[in-house]
This record gives sequence, C-alpha cells and structure tokens, in this order.
Amino acid sequence: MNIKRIYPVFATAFCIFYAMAEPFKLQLFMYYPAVGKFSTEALTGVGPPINWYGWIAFAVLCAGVVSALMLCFPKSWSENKFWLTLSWVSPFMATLVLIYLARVWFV
Amino acid sequence: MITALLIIHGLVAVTLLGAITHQAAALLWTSRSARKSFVEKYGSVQPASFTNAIIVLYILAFVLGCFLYPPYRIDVRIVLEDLGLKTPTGIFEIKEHVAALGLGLLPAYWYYWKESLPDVQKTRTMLTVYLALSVWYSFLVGHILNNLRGFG
Repeated sequence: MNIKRIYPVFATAFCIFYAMAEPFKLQLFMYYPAVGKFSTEALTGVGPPINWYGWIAFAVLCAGVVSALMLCFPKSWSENKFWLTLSWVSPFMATLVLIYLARVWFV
Repeated sequence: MITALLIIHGLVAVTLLGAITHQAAALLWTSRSARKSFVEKYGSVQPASFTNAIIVLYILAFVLGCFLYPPYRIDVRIVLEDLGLKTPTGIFEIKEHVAALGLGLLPAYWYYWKESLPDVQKTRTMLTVYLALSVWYSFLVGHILNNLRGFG
C-alpha cells in the first residue's frame, strides 16, 4: 500500500477542516495555561483558554479520517490531477477565510 | 527557561527563513545566461535539496512555538488587551492560523518535491510560495510582538 499518495488529500482536508474549526467552535479540547489543565468543556475562574491546540487536533483527526477513507478507494481517486490544484489552492483560500474572520481585531 | 526557548525559537526561525527563501528564489529566479548576477547565482541552487531541512526546521519551530504559546497567552496577550491594543492581537491570531496551515501542508509539500511525478512544477511553486509567505509573516509578527512587550 502506497500511503504517500494520500499526502495531498491530507493537506487539503487539513486546510478545510482547520478553516472550519474556529467559526464553528470545533476545538477538540481547550487548554487553560493559568492552571495547566486540558478540558473538553469551558471552565470558569481559571483564566483564558487556548483553543488553538484543539483546532489543530480537530483538523488532524478529520484529515486523518478522510485520508484513511481515501485509501479504501481506487488509487486513481487519490492520484487524480484534481489534488494537484486543490492542495495549493486550499491553504490560500483557508487563509483568506481566516483573515476575514480576524477582521474584528482591526475595526 | 522561557527566554532560552524564545531565543532558540528565533534562531530556528531565522534558519528556516533562509532555507525557504533560498528554495523559493531558486524556483522563481532561474537564469540560463552564462554571466550571472548575485541574485541569479543565489537562485541557481537545486531547490529540491532544501525540502527535508525545511520540513524538519518547520516542525521544530512549530513545536517550540507551541511551548511558548501559553506564556504569550497569559503574560503578553492579556496585557495587550488591557491596553486596548487590538491590532497586535489580531496579527498574532493570523500568525497562529498561517503557521498551523503551513504545518498541515507539509505532507503535500514533501510528496510533490520528493516523488517523481509529471506536471507538478506549478504545485511545487505554489506550495513553496505559501510556506515562504507563512514563515516570513510569522517571523515578522513574532518580532513585532516581542518588541511591543519587551524581552524576558
């Protein structure tokens, strides 16, 4: 089994799921640095949370599942030229979406 | 400890910046003329030879950044928010995102640089350009934030 062929699928899926994680609050967990505690639920009175680790974990998990599923399909699906374009378009598009969402900091 | 990590993070970032910039230059400024200018000589290296080093340095810089993030969240961002400095907080939010997206791209970046595949030149170039922009942005924002809050 040539696992390398799903690398572009993983990268594309990672970008899409990462861009969805913040607006839809899909973090797998939160980290509370003031008390050094991970939690899947919002805690009060323990300082600000870090959602970023949870967004990355969510994107890795979802991209991993999509990539694993792609291994079940014929090789031609993951070696399609479609991925050749999508693997570089997806990070640029995801960045534009995330910059748009970050506009609240600049107004 | 945090100061030492911050210095190592900065040094790794500088090395990564050099490697990714050199690779991007080699892709974008190729020349066939016999007499080459400094810029053309800078770009006349084998860009594929940088790939593994860039991946290792990116992961290292990212992991160090992950360790530095909690102190930033507690010691820096709260102060910036109290001072009403929203723009630095916003540009750092974008840094988080481009750094994470760059990390997720690394498997595709490795695949298109290391596998012998037809018609991948544009994909290689665009992935390298994205990583270069990501690293430059992250480096500059990290530097600005460090200058704003002071050292140590």
